Order: sequence, then structure tokens, then C-alpha cells
Amino acid sequence: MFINEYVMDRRRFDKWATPKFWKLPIFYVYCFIFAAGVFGWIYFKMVDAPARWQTIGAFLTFVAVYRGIFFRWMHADKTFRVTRQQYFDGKDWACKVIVGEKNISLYINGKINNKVEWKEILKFEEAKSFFKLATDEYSEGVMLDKSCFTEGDADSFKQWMLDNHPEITYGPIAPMFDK
Amino acid sequence: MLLAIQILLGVLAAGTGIGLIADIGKNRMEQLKSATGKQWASAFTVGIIANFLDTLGCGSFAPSTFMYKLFNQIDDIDIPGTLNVGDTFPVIFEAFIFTASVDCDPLFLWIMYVCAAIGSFGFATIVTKWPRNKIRYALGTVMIPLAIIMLCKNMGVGPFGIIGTATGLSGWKLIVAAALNILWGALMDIGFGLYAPCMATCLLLGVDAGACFPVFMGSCAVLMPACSIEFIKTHRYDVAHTVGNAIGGCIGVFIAWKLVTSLPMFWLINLICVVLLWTSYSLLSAANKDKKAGIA
Repeated sequence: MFINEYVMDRRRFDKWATPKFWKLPIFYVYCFIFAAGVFGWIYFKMVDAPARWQTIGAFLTFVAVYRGIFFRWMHADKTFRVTRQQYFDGKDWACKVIVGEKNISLYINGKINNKVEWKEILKFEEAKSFFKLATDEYSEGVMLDKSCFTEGDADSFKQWMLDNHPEITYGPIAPMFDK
Repeated sequence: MLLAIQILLGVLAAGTGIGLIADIGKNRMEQLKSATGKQWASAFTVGIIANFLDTLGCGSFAPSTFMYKLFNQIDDIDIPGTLNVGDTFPVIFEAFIFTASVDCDPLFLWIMYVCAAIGSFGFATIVTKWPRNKIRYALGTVMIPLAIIMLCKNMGVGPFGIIGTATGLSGWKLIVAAALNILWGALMDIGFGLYAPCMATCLLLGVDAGACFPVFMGSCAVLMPACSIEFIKTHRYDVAHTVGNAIGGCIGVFIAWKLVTSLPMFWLINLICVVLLWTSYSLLSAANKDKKAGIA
């Protein structure tokens, strides 16, 4: 059995939930949109085109900067702050993950929150500072901080997973989340 | 050269919403194929009418919900997701079509969009503690004198001066508009529409009535996809109605755009005043309803 305990604070949540924007393929699309927007904005100003066309350039630069760089972080940060406000009285919450033979139990602030069966785990992913037992194709899953094992440790957990659950695909986490 | 760049920017602006349609196609193709004729008819009717009203500033969520319940072709649980995901594309289309057809200062727009985003993301935890009904009463009450002042300005009656013709704002007026757009953006987190208050703010500060449209439409366009992501992830939306909203919505937007851009300024401002009064009525009646039900 392995136990992983950590406090979910703003920094940890943002780190786990927000990808490195420069490693997302869509970032380069936004770079192109930004370049086109800035060029259009300046060009239309120089040739005295109607202000509406300068405005389209401005609109595109805004969309590119906002969606390409800030949006995912802002969205994750807002999700964390609203969750903390609505469910935890404005305080960070303590998470405890007990990895057992039969299932994985999740406790929040000392109370059982969820039980995940092994058959629900689709992937075992490793990042620099955490493990993720992914339950769907999006960002959902059980998170374990490598430095927060109170029973067992990161290396023995990884070995145990590989030995006992070969049916779960092991691999590195997507590069944008490798923190 | 000029035309080439205009086309390129137009395609890019329109393309900012295509990812959403791709998501729908990727995740829910089977349900899309099995949708009945009645569902498609309901979807397109709601999309066209609601987004026509949305473009005029009335908002689309309330009329859409009313029509969905009337036609009874969609599960109640899927309504919020369908509205959020389906309306995203018409809202982006709205922002683009008005930006490309109305002269508005680019810097002024940039600042207003940034402020709406800051309000929605930065102040979510603060506004969720605010008493929703009291805000409804306050906003609903304020809208009535604002509409009257606008009408007086439009007709040149009283001490309020005349209608503004500015395509942007600067100085203290810009600071006031920016601060209020932060507030309107934040209030979106607890279900208040941004269109009417943002429109009133810009008009009162002297912005031309036509130039107000890209301001409030763009402010909404940049905030809306944030809500859509969760619904797409959890598949909590009706596919046929979402597509109907997305495509029919753009048709409704186009019809309304033709109406707005062809109306003489005098009648456009009168129309805006009617929208402000309608918004006031909606806010006050919703507040009264919740008060009777004992909801704060």
C-alpha cells in the first residue's frame, strides 16, 4: 500500500492543470494569427484604410495573446479559486491518496471523497515531479506528488505499478505537462 | 495588397471559432446523424430567432430556453451546455462582422476586451459572494433612468446634451469605461449579461451607437469559450441543437446585422433604449420571482 498526502494550494493546482503554452501545437497557430494581426494593424494605419480594418488587426492580436498565452492559466486559476471558495470555505484543501491492492481511495480534508477502481485507470503517466493515473482522455485522473509519499516512495511506487498493473499503459506525460 | 490582407484577416477572425465545430464533429458524430427532422427544425428556429435578438442586445439565453421548453425536443439537463457551446460560434461571428463593418478605435477595443477578461477571471471568487438579487434590483432600476436619458439625448430634449459620435474613448472616460467593463465581466460569472450594461456605459460616455456593438460583442466573444470547454468535456449538450444554434445562429446574426447597419442612427438609438428597458424588466421580474421563492 502507498499513501500520498499533499495540500492542494493555488501553486500546485496551476502547475498540474496548466500546460506549458509554448509546447502546445496550437500556440504556433496563434503566433501566426498574432503576426498577421500586428502586420494588418500597422499596414492599415499606414495606408489610411478605414479604422474598422485596423480594428480587425487589433481583435486578432488580442485573441492570439489571450487565447495562446493566458487563457488556460486564467481558466485553471479561476477554477481553483472558485472551487476553494464554494466547497472549502476559502481555504486550501488537504488531499490523501491511498493506493491499495483493490482500489484507490481519495480523501479530502480527512473525509472519503471518491474510490477509483483499477479498471477505470487508462494510463500511468510520469512527469518530473508527479505521477498521474489518468482516467480519461482529457485532464482527469488521480495525481500523486513524488515528494509527498508518507508510506512508500516514488521509486517503489513506480516499480509496484509496473509489476502489478502491466495492463495499464505506462509512459511519460505529454511534454506540455512535464513539470 | 489591401484586399489580400483584408481577406486574410477576415479568414483568421472567422477561423477562431472553427475549433468548436471540429470538437462537435469529433465527439458526437453518431448522435448528429440520428437527429430527427423535428429536432433540426427546432434547433434552427431557436438558433435564428435567439441570435437575431442577441445581436440587437437582448441576449439569447432567455429566449432560447423559453423556445426549447416550448418545442420540447431537448433534455432540460442539456440546455445550459447547448446554449454555451452552440452560441459560441454566432457570438464570435457577431464580433467579427460588426468589427469589420463599424469604425471603432482599435486601442479602445483592446482595453475593453482585456478588462472584460480580467473581470471574468480575476473577480470570480469575489462576485460569487455578492447578493445576486440585490444586484438585479440595482441594475434593473438604474437601466430605466439610463434609457430615459438616452432617449432625451437622442431627441435633444433636456440638459443631457446630444448623442456622442466618438469611435473610441480616452482620459477619464476611458478609465471609467474600463473599470465598468471589469465589473460587467465579473458579473457574467453570476449570470448577468454584459451586452446591455456595456452598451449603456459606452453610449453615456459619448461613444457612437454603432461603435458600441463591436465593444460588447467582442467582450462576450472572448469570454464565452471558457464556459464551453467544461460542457464539451462532459458531453452535456444536445448535438442537433448545438449545430442548429451554431449555423442558424450565424444566419440570425447576419439578418440582425443588416437591420442594425441599415437603420438610421436615430432609430438605432431608440431601439437600444427599448433593449435597455427590456433588460431592466427582465432583471426586476427575475429578482421578484426569486424573492417570492425565498432565494437571496
